[in-house]
Amino acid sequence: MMARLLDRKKIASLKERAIVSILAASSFLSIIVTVALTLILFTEAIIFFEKVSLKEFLTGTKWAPLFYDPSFGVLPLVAGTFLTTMIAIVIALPLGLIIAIYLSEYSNKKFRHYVKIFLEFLYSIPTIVYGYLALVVFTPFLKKYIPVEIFNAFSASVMMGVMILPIIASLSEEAFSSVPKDLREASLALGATRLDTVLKVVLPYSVSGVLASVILAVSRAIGETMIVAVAAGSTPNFTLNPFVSVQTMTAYIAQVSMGDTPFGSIEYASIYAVGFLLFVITFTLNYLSRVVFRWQKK
Amino acid sequence: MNVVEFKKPDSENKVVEFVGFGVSISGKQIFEGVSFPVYKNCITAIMGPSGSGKTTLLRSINRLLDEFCDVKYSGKLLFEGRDVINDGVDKTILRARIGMVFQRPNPFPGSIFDNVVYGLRLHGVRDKKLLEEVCIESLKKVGLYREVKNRLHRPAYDLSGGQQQRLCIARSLAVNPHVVLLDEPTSSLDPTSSAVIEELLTHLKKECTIIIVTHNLQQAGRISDYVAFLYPNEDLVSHLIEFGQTREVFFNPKESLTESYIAGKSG
Repeated sequence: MMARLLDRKKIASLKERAIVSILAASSFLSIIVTVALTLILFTEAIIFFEKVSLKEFLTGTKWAPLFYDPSFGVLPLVAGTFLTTMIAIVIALPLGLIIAIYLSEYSNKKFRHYVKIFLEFLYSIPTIVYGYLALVVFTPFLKKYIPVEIFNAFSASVMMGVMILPIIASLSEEAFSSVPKDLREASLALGATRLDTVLKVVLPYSVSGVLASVILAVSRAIGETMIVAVAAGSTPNFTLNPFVSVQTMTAYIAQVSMGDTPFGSIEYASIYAVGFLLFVITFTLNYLSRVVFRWQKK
Repeated sequence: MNVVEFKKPDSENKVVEFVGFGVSISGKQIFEGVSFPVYKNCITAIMGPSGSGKTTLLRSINRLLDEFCDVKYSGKLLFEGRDVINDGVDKTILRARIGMVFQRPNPFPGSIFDNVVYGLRLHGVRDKKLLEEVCIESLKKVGLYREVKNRLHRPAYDLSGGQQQRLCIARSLAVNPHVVLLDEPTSSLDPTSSAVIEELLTHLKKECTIIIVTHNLQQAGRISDYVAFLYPNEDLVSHLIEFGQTREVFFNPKESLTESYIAGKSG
């Protein structure tokens, strides 16, 4: 009797252990995939850096991998990414903050509910649609007023701003809503207006939440491909002029990996180098946003 | 209802007076027909069971109630002779004269100094020397200055709960309020910190009038001069059952409901 009970216990514990190991293996898989991806990126990038020096890559101002006499200065692509991201943030940050402040401090529940649905809707529009809209609607509209190229950084950036607006608006709104009600009350009870309270209590209290939302939006904008590939063109351009065609890091990778570049060639290897740089940038940003979040919790 | 009349020298000096005052929130009547005065330089305690509208009554004095709910007032609420409900009083000016301290300490993000001078800055005071003077004076009033004088510019969140609550009292005192409203100010504090605050309030009444909501009968008995007792009827609408000098209400209640509440039989 006793022995059978022990046996049963043994089987149960074996089963338990099996389940736990399956669970552990699954979570381990995510680590393996990440490491594998990084390794592939890294090893392919090494092939590239055997032929082009890191210094030339990081400091060169001409990106012409497909020319007879190719040059591999990544700065034009970085400038394209930087330019489009900056314009997108300049548009989305103030607008997103205003929306978030209105929703959390002034609007009634019903209106907040509907606006949040629309924000979510905005965020679920495929980015290719944004790119297309930029190219066929927004650029022709712009052309009526300012001389812009058909493919230009500005159109793409504006659409990218619209795309990341929901990130900033809803994450900031969450940050504002998590400010304890009695802090607002204390401020109002001292004779502050609602606006005073927002500026002097709510914003300072949630500054790290807002910062984290911005970092997340920036890393999303940096990684965005379709909008810039469709609307910003494919001309690497070391410029900060938004009205001409530029190429971002992501758009370059898309262009080369979809084209007929021979496998193993240096052009082919170059997308891994660019990809690796992109990876480093977005990884750093995401890490930063987590640090900021943790800092807020404290 | 029984209002006991007193022949006290300052009994005519009513800072706040409720006259047939009632509040309904989102269509639900919380209390009605409440009439009692709040005398200058006295501590008036509002007591009653949970849900009897004590906090609601307190929050209508500075019209803070209006900010987050759909409120309908009835009757009159006089502050220094003016009806703050019907006379079109500017709420921000009203609130600058009426300090408020909450159930839980709620310092703002920022330094101890920033917290104390928040109200002053709000009303346009920029003079650094003046801000500093008022900060020190206010902290001294709540007995916090000695404890924090070397870290005025450190975050207020570093203070203990009891210190934070005294900081919040200092913050409300910095704008020289005529009345300070306290909503169960010691309910989240340990007995020692509570005792410090009670002691502090009995000193503060020399400078301003204090209205305190409390669940704690002993506390009401220890520190208040007058007490108002609210109790809900079967429709959950509260009325003022009794108002009077604390000693009278506690030891010689006119109403049986008051007597049983104080004896711990109901509520």
